[in-house]
Amino acid sequence: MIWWILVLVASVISYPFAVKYLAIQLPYARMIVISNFTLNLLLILLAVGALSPLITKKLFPKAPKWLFIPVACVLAVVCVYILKFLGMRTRI
Amino acid sequence: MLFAFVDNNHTNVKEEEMRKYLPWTVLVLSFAFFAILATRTFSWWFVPDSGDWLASAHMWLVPQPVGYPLYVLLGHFLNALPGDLVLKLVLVLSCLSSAITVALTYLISLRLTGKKLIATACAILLTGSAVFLTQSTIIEQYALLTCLLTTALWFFILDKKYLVAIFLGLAISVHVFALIIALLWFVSLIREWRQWWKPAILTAIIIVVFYSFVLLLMYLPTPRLLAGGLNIASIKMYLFGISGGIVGTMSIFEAPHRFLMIGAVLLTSFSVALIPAVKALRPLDRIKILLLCNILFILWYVLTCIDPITWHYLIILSPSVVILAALGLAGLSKKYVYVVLSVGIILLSLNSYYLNANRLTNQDPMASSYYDELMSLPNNSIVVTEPGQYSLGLFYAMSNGKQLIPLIYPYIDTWKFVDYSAWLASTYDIKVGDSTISTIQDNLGKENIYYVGLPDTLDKLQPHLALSGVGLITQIEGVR
Repeated sequence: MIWWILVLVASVISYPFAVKYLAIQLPYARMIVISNFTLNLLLILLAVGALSPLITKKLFPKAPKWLFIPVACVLAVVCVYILKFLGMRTRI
Repeated sequence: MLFAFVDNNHTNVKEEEMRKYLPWTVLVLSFAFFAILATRTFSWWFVPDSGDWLASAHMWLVPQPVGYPLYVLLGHFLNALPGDLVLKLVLVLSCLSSAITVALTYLISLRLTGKKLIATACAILLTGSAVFLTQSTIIEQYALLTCLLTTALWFFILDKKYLVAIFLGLAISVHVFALIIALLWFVSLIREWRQWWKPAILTAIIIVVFYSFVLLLMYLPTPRLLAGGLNIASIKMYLFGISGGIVGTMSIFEAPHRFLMIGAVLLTSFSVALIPAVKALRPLDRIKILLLCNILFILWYVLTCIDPITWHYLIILSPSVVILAALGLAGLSKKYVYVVLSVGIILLSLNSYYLNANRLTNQDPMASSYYDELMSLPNNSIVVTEPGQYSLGLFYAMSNGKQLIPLIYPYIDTWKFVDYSAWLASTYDIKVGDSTISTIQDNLGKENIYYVGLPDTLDKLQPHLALSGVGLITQIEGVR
């Protein structure tokens, strides 16, 4: 029940901010930081880090544990090329 | 027809009658609710792209990437019927679509839980949900897209594979986003590939048929306002020119603000219903995996896209969250259902005031004022503006017969918008230079030239212009 109360309180507190964010007529006028270090890049790194031991175990069941490092590198490079193919560009 | 598949297990005749008519009641009531709140005039509230849809429904034009062929065709069909185009588009393609989504969400929740109270609570929650409500009451394609995806889910539950394929194909033909969702669905069903490969081919055929229409519009001599002709460079620019700089490019330093705002929006849309929705994820089954595909993909897009107004895509995950909430509530005591029902009613009441598109548009009718100003300009005036709501509103005025010449910055200068310069020169009696500034300079004195935009936008162009007048549309008197 404690979670329900906390979420309810959070909903009440966030309501005016959310309405201000949603009820707009022009594009959002806030200056945003742009950088090549994107959230997407971080998510990809996390996904590669989480998936590479599992993939290594599946592909090379008898291989030593450190083999996940080159598998992670290959996976990361493949991800970058897929994103480039999909048209994603870097920004500065 | 959709609702004829309702499961009638009860022998009680009155109960059976109720089960037959309740979905229709939900549909009619939610449609009436959305229709009352819907904008009745050209509006920029919540999402400012309505000028594009109105222009695309009125004249044959390739709309913004990547085409939205089914939505454009439906717009043309509605335009051929009597009545105001704005009202027709918003009532049929947004309000009615969302009402069908609410009714289907009610049916899906009822079928999966067997409990009318839970299904009713979820229908009310979805109807008053912030993002769902905003997109159901304006001219945008997200309500129709969500309706088609929810219909596909309904037929998945009924094990009608070919109908799933058809509605996925139609959803993709409304918005290409559904392609990723469809791919995720098919990947999650990979173990059943023998049963799904033929329906998947049907989906592919539907996509090819509808998107061929976009290629046809590129091939025909349609105005080169948002896309070039049918050639590789133009198609590449059309597909990847904008999306490549937007999708997944939000910086890590923006992430805290984005997470906070999306969190606030989700709380304003679902509040405590998020708790049973999360609880319902264990254990996973086929239906929950599909719901999770919708939710995770949309969350990823909204959280990583550099465009800060992508929150409107959250409508796509709204029915999925509500259905998961229904599944979660089925395992809890009735008091939690009443809590969700009460919160749904409160959110519906609050959001129907603060996110009332009709009230907001009447309060600040910037879009229709801009449209009226454009219509009052002398014919054959050049209007200089940037891509976005101003240019889309300009195209809408042009589609209604107003003879204006669109000079969109930076199409000639840096975007190298394929075919745009050639189209301008061949369509209008103006001299087209190598840049927007040179084009303005070459035509000063010959034509009235106006500039549209706020002073702090177009910062690369505006300092070079000598402007007279105040307001949204000012006249360009010279180049500095």
